[in-house]
Amino acid sequence: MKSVFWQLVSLNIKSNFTANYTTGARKKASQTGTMVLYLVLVVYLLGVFGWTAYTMAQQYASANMTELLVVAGLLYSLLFIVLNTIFSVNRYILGAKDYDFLMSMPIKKSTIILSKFASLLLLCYAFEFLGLLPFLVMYFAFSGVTVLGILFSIVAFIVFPLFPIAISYLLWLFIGWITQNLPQKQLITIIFSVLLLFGILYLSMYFNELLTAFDLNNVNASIATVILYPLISTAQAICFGNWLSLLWTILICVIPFVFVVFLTQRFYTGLNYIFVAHPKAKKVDIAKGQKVRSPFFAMYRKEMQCLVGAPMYMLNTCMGAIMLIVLSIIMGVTMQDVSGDVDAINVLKDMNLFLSGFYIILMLAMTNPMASSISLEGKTWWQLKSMPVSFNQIIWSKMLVYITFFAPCAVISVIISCICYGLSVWAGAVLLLLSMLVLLFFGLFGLVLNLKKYNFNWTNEIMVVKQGAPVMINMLVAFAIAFLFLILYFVLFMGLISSLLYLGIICILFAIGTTILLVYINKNGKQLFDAIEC
Amino acid sequence: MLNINNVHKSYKKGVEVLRGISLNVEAGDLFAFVGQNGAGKTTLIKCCCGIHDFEQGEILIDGVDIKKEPMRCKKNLAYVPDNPDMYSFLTGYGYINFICDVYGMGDERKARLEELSRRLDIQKSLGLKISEYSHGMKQKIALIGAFIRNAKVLIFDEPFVGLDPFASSELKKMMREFCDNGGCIFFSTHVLEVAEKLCNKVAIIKAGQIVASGTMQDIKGDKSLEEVFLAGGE
Repeated sequence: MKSVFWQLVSLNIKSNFTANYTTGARKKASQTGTMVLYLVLVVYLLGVFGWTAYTMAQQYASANMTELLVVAGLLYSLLFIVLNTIFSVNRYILGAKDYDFLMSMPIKKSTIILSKFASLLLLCYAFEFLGLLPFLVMYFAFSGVTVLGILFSIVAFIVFPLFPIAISYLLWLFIGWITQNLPQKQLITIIFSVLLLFGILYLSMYFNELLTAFDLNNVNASIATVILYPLISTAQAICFGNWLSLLWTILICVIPFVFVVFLTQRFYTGLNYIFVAHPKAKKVDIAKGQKVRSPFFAMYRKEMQCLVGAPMYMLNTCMGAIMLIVLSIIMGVTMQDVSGDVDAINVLKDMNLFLSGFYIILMLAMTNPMASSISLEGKTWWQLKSMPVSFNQIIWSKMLVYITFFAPCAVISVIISCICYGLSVWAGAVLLLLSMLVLLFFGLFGLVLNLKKYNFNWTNEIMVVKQGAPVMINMLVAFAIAFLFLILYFVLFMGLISSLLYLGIICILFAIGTTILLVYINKNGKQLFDAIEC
Repeated sequence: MLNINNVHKSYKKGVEVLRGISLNVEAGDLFAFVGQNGAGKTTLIKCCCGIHDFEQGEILIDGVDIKKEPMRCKKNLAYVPDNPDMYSFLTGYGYINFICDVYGMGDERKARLEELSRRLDIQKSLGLKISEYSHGMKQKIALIGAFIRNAKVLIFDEPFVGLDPFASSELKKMMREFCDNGGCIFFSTHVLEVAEKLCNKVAIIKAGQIVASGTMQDIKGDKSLEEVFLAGGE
């Protein structure tokens, strides 16, 4: 019989990956399908990171700096773990829906807290596996395997995630503490989180500069080495077999983690209170009344309130659109100056137009609110089913909210690109057309995925918004399409046709894809919708 | 007003949950639907509201088939589930207005909301988000959402659960008034005393089949409804 601790850990992990879109005989096949999907995603990401690690290894090996591979792997892991943890603190560890239930049971508070941290840690190991392992393998392949190196790598692999978990936890706690009594709590949380994402994106834009700033033999070499000392110390332990560095790594990672666990244990009830909203009721003047709206507009308004009312939902699903604007600004600001040389300007403009198209596809497709829009209805599904609203009213109200948020971001990004790169009106128009078609295609694609694979049994929105099967499939397809866009251009079309013409061809392909999806939804959408029971 | 004819329903596991259910709820009827846990009450109710599909039989709402014209049927009925999970990001007031918009209600909603919220004593909490509500408060908002529009058929699943005694008493009056004005209510309950005192008709379901159905007097005779129910409805 499993102990209570392991039962809770198992429940936490299972709740992250369950789906209820099928029952009975089909359930097993569907579970297998989901497992295969996760496996494909893992293999795919390992391939991407393996390839990145390999190209970096060749570069660093020639400069005799293969240790930087380990630092790069640790930095990727750190970014993944911070991004995962910072969105998991709220409603996973603190303010979780099972808080009342678990606290009412004869289970020690410490067991509850430790089980939550252990579940989070296990998820973070998965991220570390993807981020660090390919780089470690390349490092040992290029600089030779040592027993001490392998041994220290295992220890480092186990303890390293504790550091970013502790930092993200404290960061989120800080945000929660600052915003707890503010009226616009949701908005401020969104702003804080967007700022954090900006910081992470900024860091990744200067990744190479940051890496070369590391000097593993001299930890005082730059500010970056001081800020990210745990990375240096871990890399030193693995690469040089340095016992003292290993000890430092263990202490630096374990002490903050123990501190946050202790902090949570000591103030669990109070900390939960911070994350549970206790607003006062707004005064309602019934006699004055509210504006009478059409059923469709009422549905649209409800969907919009759902999106803006949940910062985690908004951040996770609209991050791509926000990132697109940030990326356009960064790309514009850091653009090379080639004034004077007309040919060089034309080549650069052509390449910039192509890159703008690539970022539009990648960013608009990467996060997709439509892929979780049906699952998010959750236990309120009965309302949509019992109300006199048609299937078209339901899906188009959801689509319209998605377009309302994503389309302006795409337009702003295109305008920034046009101004910064001095693109022609035609180029701007094609970019705009591309962004609208990408938006429509992925909106409909996400909707179809979610109609086929839905999950109403979630206890935390994050489960469907971040980890749901439709979201994963959407992300995989988005990466694959963006990758194809690159490959096709560089292998077949570069030098033969202009970027403008290439983007035009891509627009036609997306238009065909969108039409196919529209026809499919018109033909089968209602059937899929009607088949959903809760 | 609500006609259920020979309805069969199975879940995908192959288990038949409803086995040839037939019931008639006329205008003015306050119809109680009782049965053990898992007998099929909620499944039948969900079939009547168009939430669940069913393989065989027909369900007519005011003479219209729910399978053929679900939109017309849904406009004429209002449903409150046993656990009213509603849009937690809306305020109670926002939710009621959303419901009124969806059902095409105009400004008449103001007077209705004022009256209903006063009767169920929830005026002061209308500005709170539903996520802040207790189970009873959610139940009150869901009930207001059902009574506020001009539905002909009300279908409730355990409507008294979670309500305080005042709200419970008021709800009984509201249900009676609704039926006296020509509407009909079909509701499930485990509180047999309430069913006995409040309703003019009753049906007992057991393992997906109706074992007894008719006027309250015909079903219970000189016994109490509880005695009839415990004897298996015979």
